[in-house]
Amino acid sequence: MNQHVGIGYRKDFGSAFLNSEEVHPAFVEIAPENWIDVGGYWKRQLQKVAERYPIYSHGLSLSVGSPDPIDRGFLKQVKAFLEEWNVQIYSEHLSYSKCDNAHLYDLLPIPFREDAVKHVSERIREVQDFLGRKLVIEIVSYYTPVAAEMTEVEFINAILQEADCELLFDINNIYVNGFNHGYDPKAFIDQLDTSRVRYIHMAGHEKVSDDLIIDTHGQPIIDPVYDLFEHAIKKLNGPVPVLLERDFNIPEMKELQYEMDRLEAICTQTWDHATLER
Amino acid sequence: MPHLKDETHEQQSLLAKYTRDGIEPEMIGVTDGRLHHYRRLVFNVIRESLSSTYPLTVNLLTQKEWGVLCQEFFESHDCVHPQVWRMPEELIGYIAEHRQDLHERYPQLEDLLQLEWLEAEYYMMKDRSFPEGSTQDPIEAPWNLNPESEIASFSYPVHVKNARFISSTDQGNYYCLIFRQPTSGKVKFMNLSPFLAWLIATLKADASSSPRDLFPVIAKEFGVDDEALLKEQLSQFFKKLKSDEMVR
Repeated sequence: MNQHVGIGYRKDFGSAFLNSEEVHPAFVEIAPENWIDVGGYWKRQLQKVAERYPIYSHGLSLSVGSPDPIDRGFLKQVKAFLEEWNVQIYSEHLSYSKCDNAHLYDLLPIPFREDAVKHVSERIREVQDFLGRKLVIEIVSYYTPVAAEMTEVEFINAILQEADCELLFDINNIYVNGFNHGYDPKAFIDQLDTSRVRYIHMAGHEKVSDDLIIDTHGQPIIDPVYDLFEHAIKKLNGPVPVLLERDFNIPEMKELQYEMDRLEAICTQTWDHATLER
Repeated sequence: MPHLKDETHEQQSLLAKYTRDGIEPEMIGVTDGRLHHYRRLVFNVIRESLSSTYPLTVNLLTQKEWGVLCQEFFESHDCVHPQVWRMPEELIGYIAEHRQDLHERYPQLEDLLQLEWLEAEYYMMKDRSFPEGSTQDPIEAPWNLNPESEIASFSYPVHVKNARFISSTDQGNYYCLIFRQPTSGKVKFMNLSPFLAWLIATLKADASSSPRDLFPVIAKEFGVDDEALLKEQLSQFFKKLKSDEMVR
């Protein structure tokens, strides 16, 4: 069993998680949107998985960066979901996926602006007050800035400060953004308020042209992202859970376990065999 | 007091609108040649979700019709559901309101969409309690019916015939029992006669009634007064429902 490294749960992983020795994550992560009000076979399968592994949750549709008001009805459902599954960490994206009352089901970049900092921070605080817990906000990958008036790192740090929320360090996204926008991802990490990091995501990506990477979660993690991971976790005060994301082009379980083992080895070496808080 | 300035909101709206209509807007500070990835990524999610929910409809319509429908739906309809797997249900209302031409060209389309959505919905839906107790006597006792079930009525036999081979001559009154099997979680369809559809609907509506209680109504409404035949037929039907986990 890994101590620090978990994996994003997919319905088709259920049987392998329960019946195979090939994969042994520290925890599994699920999206509330994929499970709220879901029953039947898949729910029973997830219940069995939840008896064996802690559940973390990563949201898709809360849209904290949206100009629209927070959807209180949906938030209420999320709260019930977090309680039902005893979810220890609830994270969401620092982006918007709903605008002008229409869901878009993907992550759009928020303008890096002072007014957006205040707007988004107020919404995150609203969510935190409602849920009675800190929201863990993910740095998203983006392919173009929009109407930026400050740097990305200034924007993120300002939101962490104003919203008093926690940070999901998506190392692959930081690597992708560094490549796509021409900055040094290590220097970017060095400027972030790492005291607020509560959770880490790791994933693969796809280079679609000489100057653009798309964050697909469809390939194995590449070596430079492992290097960046090692750099990042040295900045932290102590261990945090690390997630391997794989959403497309799913390989054999043993290949996923190999990636988890590699991450685990880095964690163990860096954190001196510290055990993940359960 | 709202913090978000109108200009910031406008920039967000422009990007969102672009992902929906594909018409490249004038935006502040965007990198050349990058916006179209958002349009592609967002629209892929929509099209994939619609196509995986309605594979039979995809097969019925031409490739062009389906592509245009997905595009128009996403461009002009504000998707309201935060769960993407529920979003395809909104296509049914959109077509009814805006694409009557498709219903005219494919009269079976409305039923087909309903059938495909019901399958998706039943597959995923929240559990409903199905008490353990088994039915004591299929004639004298009330039936312990699977609560994860309903009867859909169709004008075309989309549940028993390939929609591509359905024509206006197939028009009629069809009943389809849809239910989720408790053990496997699979969604099943069963073609029903009008009588059996009525029987199940009636037994579901009044959980204290047995088939025997309904015999007088059956005789009056359906003209069936041969009690021995009725008992034999209903017992056979009950066995089939039981083997399919539609009753306990």
